[in-house]
Amino acid sequence: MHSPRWIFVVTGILFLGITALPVCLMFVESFRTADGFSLANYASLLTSSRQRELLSNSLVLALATASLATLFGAPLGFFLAKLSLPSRHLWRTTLMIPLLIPPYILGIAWIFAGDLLAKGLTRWTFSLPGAVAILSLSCLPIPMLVAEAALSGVPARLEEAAWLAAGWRRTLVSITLPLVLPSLVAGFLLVFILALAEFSVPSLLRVRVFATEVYTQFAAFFDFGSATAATMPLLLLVLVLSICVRLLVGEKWITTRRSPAASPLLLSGGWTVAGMALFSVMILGSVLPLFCLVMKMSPVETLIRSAWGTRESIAASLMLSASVALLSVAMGLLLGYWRARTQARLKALADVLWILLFTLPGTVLGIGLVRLWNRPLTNALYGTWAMLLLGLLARFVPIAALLLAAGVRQMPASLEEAALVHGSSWWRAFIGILVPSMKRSLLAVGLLVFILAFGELAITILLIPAGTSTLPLQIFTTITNSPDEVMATLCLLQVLVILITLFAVGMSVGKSRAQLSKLPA
Amino acid sequence: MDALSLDVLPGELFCILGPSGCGKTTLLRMIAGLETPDEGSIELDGKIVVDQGRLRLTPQQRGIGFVFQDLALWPHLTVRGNLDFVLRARKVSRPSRQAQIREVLNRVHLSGFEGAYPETLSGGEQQRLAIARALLSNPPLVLLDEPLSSLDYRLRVQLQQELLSWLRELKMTALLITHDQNEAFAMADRLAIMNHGRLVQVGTPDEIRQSPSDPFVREFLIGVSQLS
Repeated sequence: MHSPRWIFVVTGILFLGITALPVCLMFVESFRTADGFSLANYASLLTSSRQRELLSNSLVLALATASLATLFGAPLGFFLAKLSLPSRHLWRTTLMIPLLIPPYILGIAWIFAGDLLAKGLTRWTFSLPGAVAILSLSCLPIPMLVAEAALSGVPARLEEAAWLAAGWRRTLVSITLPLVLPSLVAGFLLVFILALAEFSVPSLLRVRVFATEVYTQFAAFFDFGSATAATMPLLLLVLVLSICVRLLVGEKWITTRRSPAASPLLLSGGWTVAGMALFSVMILGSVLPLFCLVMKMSPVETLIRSAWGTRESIAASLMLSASVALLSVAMGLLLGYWRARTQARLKALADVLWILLFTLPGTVLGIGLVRLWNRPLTNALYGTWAMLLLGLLARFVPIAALLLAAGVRQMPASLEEAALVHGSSWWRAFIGILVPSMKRSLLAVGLLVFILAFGELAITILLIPAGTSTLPLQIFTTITNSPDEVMATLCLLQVLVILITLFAVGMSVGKSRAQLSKLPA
Repeated sequence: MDALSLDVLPGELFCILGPSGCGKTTLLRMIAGLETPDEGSIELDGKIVVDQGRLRLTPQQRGIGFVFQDLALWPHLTVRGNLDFVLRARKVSRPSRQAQIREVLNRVHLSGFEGAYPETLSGGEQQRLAIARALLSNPPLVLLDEPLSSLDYRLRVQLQQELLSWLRELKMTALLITHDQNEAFAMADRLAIMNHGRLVQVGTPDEIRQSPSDPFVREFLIGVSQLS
């Protein structure tokens, strides 16, 4: 690298200060009791039957969600990669909708679906299996995207060589599957970790898991020691699984690139019918809950009145999400650039840290930030929007860094080297060559962070300044007291913002692609 | 890289010929400043740019031109943009930039393509653009990393002759690396055969062809055709 090292050192220190420091502090604090430092908090954790129930629920929720999501998601990814599809990008975006809608909104929608379709469904929704079903639907696009990326990376010639000798079944089982299996397992583990860390759906459906227990101990009992002790099993498990994901995927997440020369072998005929059928079922599963929200919502006049009534929350959500997206992309790009270009041994550690921080329960991160910043010296910051901004950056910079590292790696280093050799400074090459070349990646990552931040709940609930609210928080805190029509309306407003953002950015990405391919005059 | 010593004379086209993985590209990148040798010195146009393994002049301060093997054309900039970026970096004034761009595009037969993006150009046109970018501002040295390897035979031969004529007209010093023996012997004033990071033999094409000093050189040159 010919870049000024100091910028990466400063960014790294800032990043660790926002993210790792609160978590480390929590680890230390988990040993603190009224009588000083001891293992008392952990003792109660291990001996209490309540804790064992929490552990059991958490693991069942995570395992069942990961299994169901992979069972349906991987075949979807298979068909996305293997079918000759017109507008593949459109299919992919549509199938990604459940991932982009906050899971608690899907939960609320399915509760309403129960009201509309069958009362028994509502009762069933408020249970562990109900939480599994909703989270599986929400996380299903993850194994789908992982499977598609892995299968698209298998060069056609490898499968063709096998196809000449054996049939397609044997080829798929003996050649294709072993090549993509590590990625599929990594996708499974990723969903496992995310389900383990999920707060909003279990809280909504009154399913007791570690993530909700952490919040209850802190927010209801203000028992910081017990809350932090309760986070440690989660933290350790997430850490171990993050290492497993990294070991399985290795450098592939950053080095794999699709090229026309390596296009996968495409299928047709009966495969297309099967694929289309599965796509339809999936899209129906995504659209049905939204349809139920529409059926429950108020007349248009009331919709407009509700929107006006919550305008401050909506404005706060929009501004916060936009700020988080912008800052996450900026910080993520610098961290991702370092990761993509460095030869340092630290890079594997960085991968694990980023996976860990992204999948860490929001409540855990939130409590760590409260403990770190709720001091006399930092009172000016604590309890302000800046605090919430820091919390959301801690949540989303890791995923931005991971994705942008892959994006930078796609760019040949020779593009920057050509600029340096021909007289440009590193900064000029970074801003004038790399950033414009990565416009689409930056936009896509910014969009993803915006959407995720817009729907974020766990950190918001802990760090939001008193007397203020965001749209997700307003939905979540008023669900038990508000009429169904108001709830449905607020949920639809949130979904509408997400879909409009997705559509608007998708249009501008499509436009910039068309401009680049314009023929010269 | 092993210990090696090399002098390139002003105005000559020097080729380094060797099999893949012998260190040719690494050597070129060291001269450009993109890699730093552990030991030794590099002098460029009378200036010491690397001294005892320490960088004295950064890549951007050396003022050289470089044609990368993958061309490294900036996809988001037009043909004009690719050239303008280099001239702006070298703080050339606007009227002078326009004149230089016009002149170099004329020379490489890309006039009329100013507004085109690299991805819309043919392979040969992209090659010309990469060469044009390297020739801008009359650099003291032009480095070419297997510049014609991706082209078909006919186009390669045509561009070899054109590149030679451009370098001669501009009296530029150039260092070209290639694994194509015919290309090296056809173009070079002098050349070096490289193997396992060291220069096995240095001389004119005739000297090397007639008196290979090493069994490796003898084997490597089997089949070199007599091209003038």
